[in-house]
Amino acid sequence: MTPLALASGSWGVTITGNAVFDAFLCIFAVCFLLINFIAVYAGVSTLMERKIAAHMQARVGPYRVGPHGALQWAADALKLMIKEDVIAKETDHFLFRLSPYVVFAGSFACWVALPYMPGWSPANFNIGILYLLAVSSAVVIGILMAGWSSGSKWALFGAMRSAAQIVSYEVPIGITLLGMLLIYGTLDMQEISKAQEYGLPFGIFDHYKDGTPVQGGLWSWGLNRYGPFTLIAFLIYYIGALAETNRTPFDIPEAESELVAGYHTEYSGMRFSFFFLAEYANMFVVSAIATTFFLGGWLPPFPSPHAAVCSVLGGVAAAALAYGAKKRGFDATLGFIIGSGLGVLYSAVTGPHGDIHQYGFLAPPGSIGQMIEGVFWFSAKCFALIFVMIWLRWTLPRYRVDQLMDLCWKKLTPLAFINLVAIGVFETRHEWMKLIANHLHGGAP
Amino acid sequence: MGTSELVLNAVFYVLAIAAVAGAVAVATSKNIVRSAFALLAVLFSAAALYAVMKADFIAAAQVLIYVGGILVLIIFAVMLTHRITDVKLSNDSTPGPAAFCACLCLLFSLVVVILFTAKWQRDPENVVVRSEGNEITLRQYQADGSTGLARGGIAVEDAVVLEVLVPRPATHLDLVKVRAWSTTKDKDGKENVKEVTGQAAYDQTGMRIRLENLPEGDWRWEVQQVTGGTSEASAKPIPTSSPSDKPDFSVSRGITEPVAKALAGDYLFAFEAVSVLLLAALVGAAFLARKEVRE
Amino acid sequence: MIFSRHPLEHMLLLSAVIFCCGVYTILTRKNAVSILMGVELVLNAANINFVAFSQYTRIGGMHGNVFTIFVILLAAAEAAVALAIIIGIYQNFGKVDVDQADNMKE
Repeated sequence: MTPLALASGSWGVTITGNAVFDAFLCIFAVCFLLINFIAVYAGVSTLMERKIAAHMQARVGPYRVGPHGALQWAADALKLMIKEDVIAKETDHFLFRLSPYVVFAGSFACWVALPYMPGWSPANFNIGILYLLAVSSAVVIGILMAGWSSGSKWALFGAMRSAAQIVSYEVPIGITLLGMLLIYGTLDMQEISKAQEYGLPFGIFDHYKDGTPVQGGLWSWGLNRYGPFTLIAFLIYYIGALAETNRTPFDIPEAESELVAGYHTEYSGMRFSFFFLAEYANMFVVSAIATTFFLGGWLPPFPSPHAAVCSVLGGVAAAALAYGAKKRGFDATLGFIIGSGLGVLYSAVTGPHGDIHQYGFLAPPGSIGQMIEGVFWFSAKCFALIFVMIWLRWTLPRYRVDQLMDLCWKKLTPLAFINLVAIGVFETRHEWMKLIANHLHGGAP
Repeated sequence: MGTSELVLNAVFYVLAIAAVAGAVAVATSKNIVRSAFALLAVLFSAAALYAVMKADFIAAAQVLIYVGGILVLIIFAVMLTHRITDVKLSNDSTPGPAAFCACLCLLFSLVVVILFTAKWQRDPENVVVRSEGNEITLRQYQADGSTGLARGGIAVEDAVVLEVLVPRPATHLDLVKVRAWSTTKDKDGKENVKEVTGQAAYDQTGMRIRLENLPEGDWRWEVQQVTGGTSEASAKPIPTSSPSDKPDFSVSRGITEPVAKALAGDYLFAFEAVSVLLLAALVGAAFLARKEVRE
Repeated sequence: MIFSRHPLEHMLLLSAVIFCCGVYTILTRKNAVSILMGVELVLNAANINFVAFSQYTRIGGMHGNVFTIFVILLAAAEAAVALAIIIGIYQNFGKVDVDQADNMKE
């Protein structure tokens, strides 16, 4: 829905008489909704971070403001808003004021292209993922702007380290996403989510006899397509995403014990809260990209209730068997995974496949129920990944900056390349198997 | 002027002003860091202009490579080649009348060539077809009607304007109908035929048909001659002279796929050569910028 | 003479203006990094030209767009090497003034 399309009246919405005003009203409404969600989500996220950290450290965290500290985020937001705005004299005033907005704009521009529900994003491009990677570069420029205009050498060092880290980790991220794009064949985020509806790992069972494709639920997600390689791609992407958003173990630019606060040392009050907002918004964006590429986007984990039941029963049975044999939790988990996979396979072979609703939702296609389900599954997966990010922050120690660069260039990038080649080999398996078969049978075409 | 045209014009002028202001700031700013961030404005405006021209892949590539790579490098270089504690970095220049006049003359000559001397290939090719003594001219245009579309060309959008011109009142033609169909194959290899028919009453200057919301694929079109009324049964296709292997035009959503086909087709050698060159530049730059141990 | 009726001419004029600003930067600046910024302006102006010709004339094919991609790639390679050289000059001379980097002159 570009403004031009809206302005030419192709959305069918008339609020005022004028098509241009309608277009801009719709755009403002959607952006207003998104910004409000970002603000509330970032605030609640700070509270969740403190609560999760506390419970992992065997304490309770914020407790006084609201029931069990549930309104602590509102108190923090209010405090930041009414703080005095201190700007040092040695700063470059124009750039100092501009940089929080540039950083936030870089994050927010990514939010409009994410596939929240089946068939609709606020702005769906057919170059979806390329646009997301491109606009995230604005964040790097904003960070450099902030570090430079602060007029202090600690801020500058923090900014340069942060920029170098983000730009370096974009390489393994780009290569792993490239590998997944070989599987999907399109840059469009909505199409990528849709492509994870059908097909079991390694393409073992693609169509029923009547030609309808197999819905594998959890097992046709991007993560599971080609064995260990797509899983490795997911892990490399996730590590790169941690580095992109300056989260521990890669938070050397913001480490309190090292550089005070890195590039946002000199910022106070509302300007600092913009950087904070941008960091949490960025966390959501990288989790959303991981969800779309590897975890199926807005698809539910089971294509039908029959598959869900088979999967759970199979998993529990296999877990019980494994635990009984080995008496260890790890083997029980492995057993659960294998059992649930076999359950889904059983359901795919014998279960009902004629009347499964579109995408496996419980609601009929095109209805509000499908939209709500889509948003629910998408957000659930994103928030699960964000929870893991918060978990890692309070578990792992920090990397030194040379260890960080070493990890990126000497370990993740070669691994990502090997992964790319392996996924390419899997994707073209029909062609080279035919070549080998031809060669073995004497070479006659 | 329709509202979408108004929006398009407003968007272009805003972006053009931003680009020119940024370029002037790069050229004349006394602070080199301000200069670098003005370059950011120019690069982003250029990317937005590519998007206005419907070259979406190039817009994204521009931001990704230029802003995310080259500009970051330039800012790092600015910071590494000055004493770190200066905030106001002076950027000396020697503005003299010579340089200014030279640039003004350059600009003037470019403007004269663009506006007055050059003949840009914008008009559509004419295909003249004779039918029952009537001479019919066929043309195809891009959606906004301002630029012709070559035979076999690619329309990066979903609307194409077809024009059928009959120069003088014809005795055998009351209504001229145009039929366009797509012959792209589906993923499973099935041929996907879609028909779009436009029909308009004849007037003195000819008939223009606007085909909108065309799905992607390769399209062909033909003119059907309807004699003396609206009866479908009397429609006879008038053969056009397009070769049977090339489509009349192709529709694609964005230029990613056509550019990829060109890179893997006509420009394959250049692509491989550029990758070797990038490797050489990478190794060379890393070697040049290393910290030497001086005795 | 409004943009939507004559898109090609408007884009070419814009690229001519940016090109001249870039040439002015190259001619008058003393800082080597500034001169590199001027070169980037010139390359961007050429790119806008290429894409405008590819999209707004009836020349079939994607040649202008593909050439633009090559120009962007080569600009990246050139900027990397040029900045490495500039940093080398800074380490040797202590400043990046192109008027004063004349050790090889007689």
